[in-house]
Amino acid sequence: MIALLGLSLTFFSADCGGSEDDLVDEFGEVELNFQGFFGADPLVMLANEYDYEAGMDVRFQLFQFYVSEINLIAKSGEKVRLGEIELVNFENIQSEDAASKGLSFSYSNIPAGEYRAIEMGIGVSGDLNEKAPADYPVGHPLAFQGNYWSGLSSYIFTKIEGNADLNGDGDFTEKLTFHIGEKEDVPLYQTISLDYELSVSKDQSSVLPLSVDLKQVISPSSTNFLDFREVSQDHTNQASVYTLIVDNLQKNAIRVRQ
Amino acid sequence: MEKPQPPVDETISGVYDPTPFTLVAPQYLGQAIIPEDNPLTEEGIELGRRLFFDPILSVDSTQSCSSCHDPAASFSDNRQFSIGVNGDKGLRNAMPLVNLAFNPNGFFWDGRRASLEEQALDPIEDHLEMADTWENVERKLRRHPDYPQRFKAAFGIEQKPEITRDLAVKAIAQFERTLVSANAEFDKVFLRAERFPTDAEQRGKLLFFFEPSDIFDDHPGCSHCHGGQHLTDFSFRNNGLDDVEELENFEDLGRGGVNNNRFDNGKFRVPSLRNVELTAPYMHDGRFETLEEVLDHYASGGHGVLNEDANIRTFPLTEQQKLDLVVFLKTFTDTSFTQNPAFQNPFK
Repeated sequence: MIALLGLSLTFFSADCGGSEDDLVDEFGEVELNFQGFFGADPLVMLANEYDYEAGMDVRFQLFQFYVSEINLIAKSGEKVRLGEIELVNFENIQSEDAASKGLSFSYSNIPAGEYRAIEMGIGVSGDLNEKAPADYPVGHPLAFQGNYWSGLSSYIFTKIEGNADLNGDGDFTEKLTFHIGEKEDVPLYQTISLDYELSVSKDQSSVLPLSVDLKQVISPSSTNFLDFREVSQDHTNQASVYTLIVDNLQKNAIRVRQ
Repeated sequence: MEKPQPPVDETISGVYDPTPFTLVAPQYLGQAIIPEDNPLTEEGIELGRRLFFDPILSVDSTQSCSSCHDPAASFSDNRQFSIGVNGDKGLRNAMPLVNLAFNPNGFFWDGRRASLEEQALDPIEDHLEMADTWENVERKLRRHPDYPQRFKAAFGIEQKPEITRDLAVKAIAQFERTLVSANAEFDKVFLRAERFPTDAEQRGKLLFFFEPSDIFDDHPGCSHCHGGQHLTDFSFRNNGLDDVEELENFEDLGRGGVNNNRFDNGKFRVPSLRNVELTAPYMHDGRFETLEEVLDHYASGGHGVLNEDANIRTFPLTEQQKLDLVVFLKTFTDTSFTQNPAFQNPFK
């Protein structure tokens, strides 16, 4: 009887003018995979050093950012929610092997069908940013106290930490700390959309591969980069610094991986 | 011919009618982590309190958990290294026990135990601490005139052989989860706004918490690691104590000694600063005797070791700023916690 009902629903959908772009009442899994890069090189914390601008070198300890309201856009135009919030955290990517695997987030019960894009907010969406770590159970992406500014009632959307060798002498003596979060007069949340044709099939897992280029975040060009000789930290109090980081993370750094 | 012995009656008298216990804590502390297989009960907590303060857990019945975790010192012991039953020094400073129910990230300085239940297993058999064996402790508890009834009341067992280390550490963990501190001046002034801060407290707070500051550089930035209501982010970090050429050269590998990740060598738990005034000396090896020494260390900016936390950076610290910071740090002291009758030795 249940099988017959399922059959009739399928026919009903087809009879009502549905197209092959419509999502169907079957479900698969979607895996969102982020691989980190620094330019053409895999992004590896602590173990790897990278050439930087103006004769400087750089090494990273931490790169993380929140993504919110993650949706797939079906070819029919319908939005399907993958997740409410994730922390894309490269802190434990400390080898090239780990870098090649990247960071994965899996979502089940995703309607089968054809999708054309993914959209997500970079940062913590307004509704979620009104809450605090104490509001969430252990393990939730927003439960970690270290990613929250209690004095400002805001999550820290993005963190970049590491060390710079300012003159190429091999000594990474300059510590780098860039923490970007919303302040009352500094709205920083923005939604991005990336085109990608993704087919989700019943009981199958489909991978949506993304790349994040940290070089694009802090050094989009040789004339426009964070000059660590001038600035080595920011906590969303120098507009030229946090604007560069936020704009480039949102507009240039995240791409569909080919 | 030897006369056969009558069978020993191992049945435990008494009743099993546990009373559920609700942990009372402000919402801002978050959700307590209480395992499904070890819910809090009044009987379990009381049994745990007795075990915590009872030297029966040590090989010569001279030391209890409280020997190194004194309530008056926020359940630490004010020694650089604790002294075990044989007079030997431990390897690390005894950690304070405060708001443990909210810790999501392992226990001990190196986070080697995932739960309070697992943590409580270790000191009994550590030859530098209580130096007993669990087999022996179980024997002592089973033949004790009082404990079998208390184990029954807490866990519903019927026979003395059912008294095991697993139940003992469950009870201790229950007691430890009740050790909630949330009534310091910090709570009253800065979290509950029950009074205005003094000028020195406010100046100290602005030095401690980075985020409201418009200062671009040269800020102590304590809140990078000790932020939020718990005054810790529960992470493990290299806070710049030791200057080593290679990460393998740390005398104490800390977190890296647990997970074998060289990049975690020399990293230790960021402890909560609640009651920090009472828990000297400081750091995993108790190297600093005063809060002023701690502040001087952080102002010096570390040594630049590869995995040293990037937030450890030099900052100027005037005597006035140091005074203000110490005044603020002392607002974390909660005497209603250290003197809470429910947390004291029941044998006194």
